[in-house]
Amino acid sequence: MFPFLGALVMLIVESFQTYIHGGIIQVSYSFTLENYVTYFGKTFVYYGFLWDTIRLAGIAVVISVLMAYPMAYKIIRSKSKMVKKILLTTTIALFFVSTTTKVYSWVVILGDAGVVNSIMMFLGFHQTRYLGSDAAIIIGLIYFLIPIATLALIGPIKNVDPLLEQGAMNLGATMTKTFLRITLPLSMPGIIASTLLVYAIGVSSFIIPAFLGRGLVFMMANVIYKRFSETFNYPGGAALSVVLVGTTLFMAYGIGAIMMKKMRGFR
Amino acid sequence: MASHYSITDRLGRVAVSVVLAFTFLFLVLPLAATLMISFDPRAYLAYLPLPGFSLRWYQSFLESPRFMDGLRISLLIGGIAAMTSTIVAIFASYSMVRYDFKGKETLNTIFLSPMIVPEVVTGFALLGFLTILGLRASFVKLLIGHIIIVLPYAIRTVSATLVGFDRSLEEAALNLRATPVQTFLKVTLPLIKPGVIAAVVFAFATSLDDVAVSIFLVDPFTTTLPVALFAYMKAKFDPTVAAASILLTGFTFGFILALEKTLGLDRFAGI
Repeated sequence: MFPFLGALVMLIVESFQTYIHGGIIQVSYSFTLENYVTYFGKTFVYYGFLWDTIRLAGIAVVISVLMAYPMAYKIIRSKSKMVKKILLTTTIALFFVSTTTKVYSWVVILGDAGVVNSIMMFLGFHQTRYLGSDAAIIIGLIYFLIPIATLALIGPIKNVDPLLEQGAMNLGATMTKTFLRITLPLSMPGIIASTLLVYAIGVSSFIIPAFLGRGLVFMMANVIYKRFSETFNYPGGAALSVVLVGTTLFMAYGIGAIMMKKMRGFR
Repeated sequence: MASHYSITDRLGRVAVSVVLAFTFLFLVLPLAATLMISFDPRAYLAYLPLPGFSLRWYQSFLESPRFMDGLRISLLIGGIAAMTSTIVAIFASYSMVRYDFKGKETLNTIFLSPMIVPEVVTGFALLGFLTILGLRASFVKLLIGHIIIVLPYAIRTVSATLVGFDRSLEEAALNLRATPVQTFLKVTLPLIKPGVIAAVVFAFATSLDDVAVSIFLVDPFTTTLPVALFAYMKAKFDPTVAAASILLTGFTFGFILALEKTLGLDRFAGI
C-alpha cells in the first residue's frame, strides 16, 4: 500500500507545482494555485466536465439499480430453481465479460453503420448519429453497472428475514404491501450502500465514455487522461484528479449521510 | 393463501417479469451483435446483413504479436497479482477480524481506499510516483499497480468469509493441543477456502480487465492485452477486436463453468 499512499501524497503536492511546458515530473518547493485557477477560476468548461460526469453517472446508477433490484430479488426469492440459476449465471458471466468487449458491443450496435442504423435504414429512416451523445454513454454505463449492482444488492435482500415477509402475508397483507412495507424498508440501508458503491465505480469510468462519447462528451477520467496523453501536463492532471476525488468523496459521504438520517426518521 | 393476491399483485408480477425479461435481453443481445460482427468478412464496420462468413479476424488476432505478447503479460501479471493479493488479504483479514489493535480502523480504510479512488487517478498518480522513485521497468510498475487495485477486492472477499466463521472450531483445535500455526493451516484455511478461491477469481478478473491504471504504466514494448485492444480500437475499428472479444468471452464462460463446478456460483455470489 506504500506506493499507493505515496503516490496520492505526491499527486497532491504536484497539483501545486508550476507546469513547465514539455517538462518532466519534478519535485520542487514551489507552491502555486495556478493549476486550480486555470481550470476552475477562469473558465466554466471544467465545471461542465465535472457536472457531466456526475450527471451521466448519476442517471446511469439510478436506472441500473432499478433494473438490478428485480434481478437480485428473483435470484434470492424466486421459487423456480431454473430462474434463479439462469439469472445468477447471466449476472456473473456478464460481470466477468471484459469492459472492452462491452464497449465494443455497444459501438457495433450504436455505430454509424451499426445494428440500429442498419435496421433503421432498412425500415426507410435516415442514418442517425448515436455515438457521442449523452444517451450512448448512459446506455453503456448501465450495461456495465447492472451486473455489479445486482451482485451488490444480493446481500441486502438476502438479509431480510423471509419469516417477516411470511408473517405479514399470514396477517393478510398482499404481496405488494409486504414488499413495500417489509422487504423494501428493511433492505434500504443496504440498497443505499450498494448504490453509493456503484456510483463510485460509475463516476470513475474511463473506457466507456472514451468510445461511446466519441470525443464529444467527456467524463473526468477522460479529461485527466488527455492531460497525460496530449500535453503531458502533470501538475494540471494532478489538480483535476484532486478535484475529482474530492468531489466523489464529498458526494458519496454527503448523500450517504443524508439518506441514512432520513432512513432513521422513517422507522 | 390465494386470497392474499390482489389485482395490484398480479399487475406487479407482470411488471416485474417484463422488466426482468427486458434486462435479460439487454444484457445478452449486445454480445450476440459482437459475435455476429466477428464473422464479418469486411475490413470495416458496415451495414448489415453480413455479405459472407469469414474467420479472418480470428486469425488476425491470433497472429498479431502485439496482442499475443499482451495476452501473455496480462495473464502473468493477473496471476501474480491475484496470488500475492490473496495471500496478503488472508493475513490482513485474519489479523483485522481476529485481533483488536490500535489503528485497526485506519488500516482497514487504507487497504480499501483504492476502491474509492478512480482508477485513472491511481494510474496517473503511480506514474509520477514510480518515475520519481526511478523505477523504469514497465512490468514491475504494472505489477505494483495491479496489486494495489485488486487488493481491496481480495480483502473484502476473504474478510466476509472470516466474519461468518465459527470460532469454536479453532478453539477446539487449540484445546486439542494444536499449535496456532497448525490450527490456522488445518482448520481455518480449509474452512475459508471458498472465500479464498473467490478472492483469487475476483482479483484475477479485475486485473485482466484493467485499462485505466495500466495505460499509464505500459511502455512500447510491454503492454497488457486490454491496453493493446484499447489502442487498436482508437486507431481502427475492424472486427479484430470483435474476434478478440469473443475469444476472451469464451474463456470467461469456461472459467465460470469451472467456478460453478468447483465452488458453486451460489457460494461465489454469497447466497
